[in-house]
Amino acid sequence: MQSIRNNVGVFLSFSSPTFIWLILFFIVPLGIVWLYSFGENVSLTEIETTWTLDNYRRMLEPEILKLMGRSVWLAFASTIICLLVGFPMALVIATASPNAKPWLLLLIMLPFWTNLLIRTYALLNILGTRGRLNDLLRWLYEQADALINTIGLGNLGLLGDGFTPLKMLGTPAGVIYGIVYVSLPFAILPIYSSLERMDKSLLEASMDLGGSQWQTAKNVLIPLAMPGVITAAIITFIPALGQFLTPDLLGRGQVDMIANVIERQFKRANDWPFGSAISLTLLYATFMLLAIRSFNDAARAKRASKR
Amino acid sequence: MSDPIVSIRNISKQFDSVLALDDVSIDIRPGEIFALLGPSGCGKSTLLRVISGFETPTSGELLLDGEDMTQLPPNKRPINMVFQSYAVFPHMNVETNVAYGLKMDKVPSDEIKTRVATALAQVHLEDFAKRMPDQLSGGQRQRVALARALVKKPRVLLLDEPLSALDAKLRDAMRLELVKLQETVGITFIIVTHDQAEAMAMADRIAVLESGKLRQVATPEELYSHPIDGFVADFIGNINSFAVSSWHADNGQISLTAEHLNTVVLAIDETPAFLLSEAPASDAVLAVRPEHVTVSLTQPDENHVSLRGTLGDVAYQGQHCIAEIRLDNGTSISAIIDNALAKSLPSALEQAPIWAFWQANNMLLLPRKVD
Repeated sequence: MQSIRNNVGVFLSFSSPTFIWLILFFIVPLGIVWLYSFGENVSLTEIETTWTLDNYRRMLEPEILKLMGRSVWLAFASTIICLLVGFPMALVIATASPNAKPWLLLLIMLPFWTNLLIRTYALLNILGTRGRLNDLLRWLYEQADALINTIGLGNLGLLGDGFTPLKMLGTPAGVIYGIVYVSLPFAILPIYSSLERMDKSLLEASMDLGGSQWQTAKNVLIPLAMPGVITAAIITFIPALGQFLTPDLLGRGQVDMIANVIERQFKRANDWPFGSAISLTLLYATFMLLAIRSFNDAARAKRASKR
Repeated sequence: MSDPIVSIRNISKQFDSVLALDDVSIDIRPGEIFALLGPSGCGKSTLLRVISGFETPTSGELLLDGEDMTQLPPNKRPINMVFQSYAVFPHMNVETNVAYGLKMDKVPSDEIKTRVATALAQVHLEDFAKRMPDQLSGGQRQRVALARALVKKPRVLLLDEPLSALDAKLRDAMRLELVKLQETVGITFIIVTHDQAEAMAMADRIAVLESGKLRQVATPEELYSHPIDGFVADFIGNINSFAVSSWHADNGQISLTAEHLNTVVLAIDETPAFLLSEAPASDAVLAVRPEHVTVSLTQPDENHVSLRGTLGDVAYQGQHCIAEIRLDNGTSISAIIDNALAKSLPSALEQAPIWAFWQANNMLLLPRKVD
């Protein structure tokens, strides 16, 4: 590695395709968006960069703040659910027999082999008022109802007037369900890898010293898996914050997140400068999160290296 | 003799198709250093995990002070373990590590404080209480693991390959220190090791295991001078063995012929049972330790057992040399000779004939393997 870096010619010829690609298709478009965010519409199709801060000022409008707040809380709730569901799953995979492990990991990866749009339409089918989930609930209701009638308690009306289907689509619950569904693999994998790397004798040592299973999980397993959990939280939260498709389809336009607003600015509202400003604000927020993480890691590394 | 503190009774452990422990019974006495010795895969670690509670035996029972604890989970056993990897919690400092077991037992906090301080003093880590494990050397981490186990005042302390991860110099020092520590605290130590020198130097008694079976339990001296069979003799130090081809017992004496050797006559009280069994004579071996073998350029007198060969490699050991004597059929035996003699011998290149010889009464007559 070192020798490649020392030879400038080799280094350039190897790295230039990547650099050119990044500059052309990442830095330049991002720069354009950045310029737009300080611009104004002068005609239907023209934008002039006037270095106005109005676009950023408009971020403080109550409507936008409300949407920002909703995005944050939906992403946050989804992240928490992903961690709560993902941790036990990661633990099961990490402790599974060597034969079962690759299959379990494959099951986690399997959704990626299908297009996100198709998977989201499948969720529509499941979560709809007349969807499969409600079919299941209705079936359960009818069984319970029949049972109550059989044992002669039917006239007490314990189960209400009849089955009311659960409304999931167009509610925050449905959107969270969708985000969790999409993000769960990203939450499981980092936790799995931190559990997998853990020295199992640490858990045995805790039990050997008198710790119960629960105490061992609380005092040793979870603290040592924390780096993986934090990575999982970030890797879930950031994309969740920018979710577009899930709120669009599962939210039925009634649970918009910030990405839907951005989309609207670029399309129906034809207000590219404002859309650019929101996009960049989202990007800055993400950078801030990652920076906090890096500072945290650096501080930990510094503490560890102090001998 | 006092009652055993740990009684291992007819314990077997089956892993899928592998029988890791095969009907093992051992009594371990209070206050002794007991070593479980054997090559890797012999079942010694499985036995340790059965004693600590991390494995449940397929059959048999485990008694502590006469009480059955075969089904007791590890956190309910008054037994603690020093893991091979030390398993010091990386996210706790030295003090918190050592206090962990006491906190689990809900010991009052001022008592924890004094007991942790005592334990850290015992392993000479008083000045390291606030350090994190990644700021410690391997040897220091091991001391933390030791203190963490000892602070709970266990009935028995288990040590899994305690010296294997240390460098040679530190290993010798730690070996002595462990023995001294055991004398101070008086707790029974059970040590698992694959290193026979380590077991011999530290243990009061040693159990030799091989493929899940217990071969012999004895003091180090007894194991060395009276091994039960060829496997134990070869595992505990080196030994040169010769397959017996025929034998004749008469009048308190037995004369044997073995490959490469002239007739060996040994005084015996009675003919060993393994010779009388149906098995062919070649299942018996005559064996001699390298330190009893002398080397000379001239043929020794007939009072010695001798054989002729050529000098092979001579390995310099410091105080002495280990010489390899190659026999005609390509096999070789080893002899411990002094440095002056090694210098006077013709070099291996010359292929000059030399003689290796020893007293007949230094030979052991053993079954090849006891099952």
